[in-house]
Amino acid sequence: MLTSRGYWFLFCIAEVALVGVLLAARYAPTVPILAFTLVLWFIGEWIWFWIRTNAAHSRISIERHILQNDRELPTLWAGMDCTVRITIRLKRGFTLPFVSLADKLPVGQHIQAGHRRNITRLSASEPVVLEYTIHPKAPGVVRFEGIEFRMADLCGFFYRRSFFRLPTEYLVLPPLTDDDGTQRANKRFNTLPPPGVHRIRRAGSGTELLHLRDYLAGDPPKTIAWKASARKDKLITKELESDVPVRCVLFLDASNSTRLGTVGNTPLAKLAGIGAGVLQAAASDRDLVGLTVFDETGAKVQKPARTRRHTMQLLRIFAETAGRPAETTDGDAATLQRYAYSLAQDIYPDMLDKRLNSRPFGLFWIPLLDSRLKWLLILPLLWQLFTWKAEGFNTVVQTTLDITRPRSMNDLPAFLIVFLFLMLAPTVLTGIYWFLFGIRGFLPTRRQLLSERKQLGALFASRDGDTPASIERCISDDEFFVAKASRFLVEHHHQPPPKLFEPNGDYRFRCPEKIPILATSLLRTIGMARDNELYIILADLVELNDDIEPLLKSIRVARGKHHQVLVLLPWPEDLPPPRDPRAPVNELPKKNRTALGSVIQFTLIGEYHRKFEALRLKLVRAGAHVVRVNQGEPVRLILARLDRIRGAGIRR
Amino acid sequence: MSQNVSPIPLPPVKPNQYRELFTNPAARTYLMVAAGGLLVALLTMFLIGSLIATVLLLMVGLCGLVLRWSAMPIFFVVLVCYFSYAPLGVPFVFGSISNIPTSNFRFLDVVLVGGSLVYLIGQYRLFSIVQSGMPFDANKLFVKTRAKPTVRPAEAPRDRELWMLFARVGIFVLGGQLLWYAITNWRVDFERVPPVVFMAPIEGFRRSDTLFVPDYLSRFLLAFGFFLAVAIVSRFVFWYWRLLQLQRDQAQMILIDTQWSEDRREMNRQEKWRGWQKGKILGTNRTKIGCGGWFLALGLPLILLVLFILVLNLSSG
Repeated sequence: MLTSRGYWFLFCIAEVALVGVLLAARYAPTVPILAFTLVLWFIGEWIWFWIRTNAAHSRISIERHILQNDRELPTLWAGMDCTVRITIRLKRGFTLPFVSLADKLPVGQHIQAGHRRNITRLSASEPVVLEYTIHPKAPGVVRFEGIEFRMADLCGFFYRRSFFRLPTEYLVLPPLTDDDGTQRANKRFNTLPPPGVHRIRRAGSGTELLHLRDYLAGDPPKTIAWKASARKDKLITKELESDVPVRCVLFLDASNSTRLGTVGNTPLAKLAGIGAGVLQAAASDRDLVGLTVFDETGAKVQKPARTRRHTMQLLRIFAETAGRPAETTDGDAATLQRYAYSLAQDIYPDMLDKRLNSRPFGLFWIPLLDSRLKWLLILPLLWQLFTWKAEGFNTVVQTTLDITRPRSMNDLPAFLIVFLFLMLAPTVLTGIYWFLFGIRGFLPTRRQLLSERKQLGALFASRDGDTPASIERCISDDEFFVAKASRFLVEHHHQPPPKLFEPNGDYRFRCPEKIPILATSLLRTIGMARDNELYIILADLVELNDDIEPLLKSIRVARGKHHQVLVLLPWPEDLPPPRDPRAPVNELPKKNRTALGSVIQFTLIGEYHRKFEALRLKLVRAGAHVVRVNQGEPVRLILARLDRIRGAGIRR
Repeated sequence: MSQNVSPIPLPPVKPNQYRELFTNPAARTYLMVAAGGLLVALLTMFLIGSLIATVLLLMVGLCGLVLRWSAMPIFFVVLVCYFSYAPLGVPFVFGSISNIPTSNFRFLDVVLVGGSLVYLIGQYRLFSIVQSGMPFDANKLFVKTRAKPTVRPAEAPRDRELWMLFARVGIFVLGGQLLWYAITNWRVDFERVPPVVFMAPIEGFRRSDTLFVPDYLSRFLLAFGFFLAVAIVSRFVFWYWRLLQLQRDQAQMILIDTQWSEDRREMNRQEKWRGWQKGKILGTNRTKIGCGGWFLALGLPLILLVLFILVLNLSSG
């Protein structure tokens, strides 16, 4: 494409050439000669630019390597720097003297070191390397879209932008924790048993002595305590403790309410990070850890195990779950269109090219016949029928004569004008109305919106393999378009700001459907339990005070079976921690009482605290222990609970 | 990193620093090239006898090179053409009428055109280094006022780049002269097929007054025809090349778009019915009539009624 500099230069030399050939050549042939030389130079540069860029376009190869600690890895670890190295080669062909190469940064990531853009020349003998470092903070998925190419000639007349799409996704596994770091500060509870095996104070087949009792018929001879029998002079049987591993089952809430927020900073990512910390700490003690990921639609269960493979699998599940974006299929069509179109311009510039993705003139015309009042068009037709009948025609002629009163042939034009007006006025008026009705489609805002909608519809149809009918449906059906655009944005890890509240003020992301699912999953896990287990529920429940009853029942069942239940609730970052219920009620400072924003914020914070307190009371009464995510160190707390279950802590 | 890998990108050049013209190797090189071209053009204008042109072109050139005023190259072209037309700077006081057929390959013209072309190339490349080499992708409304434009890196140009510069100057100066030679020695004659004649005396063309093409118009038609032919051929070649390079998703997009263009009226009708049925089920169909509808429903019948009454009154009167 021509830049504005190129347009101005071309316009100028074309004018000079025109004037030179037509007027000035007779007196100064230098003028057309100079103009022709400049025009030839401009055309030559233009053709040369297109040849070079076209030839290079199909001969570029790109390699991407992700390195962590100088090793190429298929997955990343959160909390660790990783280096992205991209090598761009021109296999053969002409040198591109001025190119700007830039890697599109994954959403939510920031460059720690290096450059993602390089402005250089690209030739077959000199590959270009882009190298930069990112620091994934939270588990999830990072998506690299591809490389942006911007090419220009050395004079700045011509410019071309393209995007090499190389979508690659990498899992970011939760951060690694060391074996004795934060989670294993003290090991006083499990010093005696070997790792992974813990004593339960009941008879079993362990190695530690529980107590001695009189021999009963049928006891195995090997259980007879011979020394004690000799001392008592009767047979005494020794009973041993039961050695069992401790099981811990995590319930991770992956519903939409936990997926709201910027990438890597969602409640789900934080919950997954905590869960992964617990998993690794427990795995280092060879405890069995299971995982149930649930949302509004169902639950996926991973049975407790303690193998390394199982641990890695759970880490992958944590990462995949944390990378799930919120599904907002009921967003505003105009907002989604704005987001989707700007993203498409970035990543799919070739697919929005009007040579591939056309915007025909007729697309913008609003047909009158499609309106509800098209039947009214019959009125001018009736009028024309009336005027073309003899009586009507005579009436019109007579009226025209009365109006114009022609005396001579000089009055003929006036007669004809009035006659034609009376004869054809309804049709002309209807024609004007038809024109004004249809031309409204070309007004700038509507034209732009329709044009973008059509291009996006074609892009979606092409990507999804749909028929062309889906383009028209995208244009006409907002609901369909919203579903398509949401999917498009989610796939590229972009999320427009969701509508959080209904028009009546209700929170839209309560997700009450998840409570029965969680309760059922908990009951099923209790049913499969063997010994005393720890159930950790990582869920956003604050908005679900009124729907929590099924979960409370399940918790009571768990407590009845002597299991421990711990509930971890995410807490918004910008919200102060809940106050002590016994503390005096805070009041809004006087200076803020006039600011509506402050009053609303104060009210909403108070409402959230009230809901949290009510939920906490319900859960505590049911026997669960409730912890906020940002309250102390949740991982240490969970491990302490585990330690209470095993060994000394569970003595009854 | 191996030797043949491009180095880490240099920090972007800060604009609005005159010192940069001498510290930046690329800017320094093209400053010298443009200054050389400007000097040659000035010398030629001086030899032609236009002192005022020399002074004005010097000022324009300095403004372009030092102050980086982006309109200066265009002013330069306009001024060179103007003072070639009126060397004294006074319009309508021309020099002698040129003998056009012998105006090819005159030494001063070749030097002037060559110097001007070198200056323009150097000036525009200098702009790409110190001012802006690529336009912003975003709409002008969204570009921040202090956003840094993309410029060429501050590396010394390679020898090959400079050699190519002078080679293309030679080629295009020669091309310009040849083109001028061609259109001054060919004439358009609509009485012949093909309608061009080479090196024909002008008297031979006065066979028919209605089909006579004056000199200036003949030159215009030939030049226009030449550039049109170049444009059409280039367009066809690049169109075919683009088809050859088409990728799978692009080809799929073309097919979908073509099919949509053919069937869109029928599909639009279906979608309107679908929307109507959907609205009916949901009860969201519009019950109000829009302003256009009101006009049709009330305005048009009212106009007809008025006309009808008028006609009846007049006819009865």
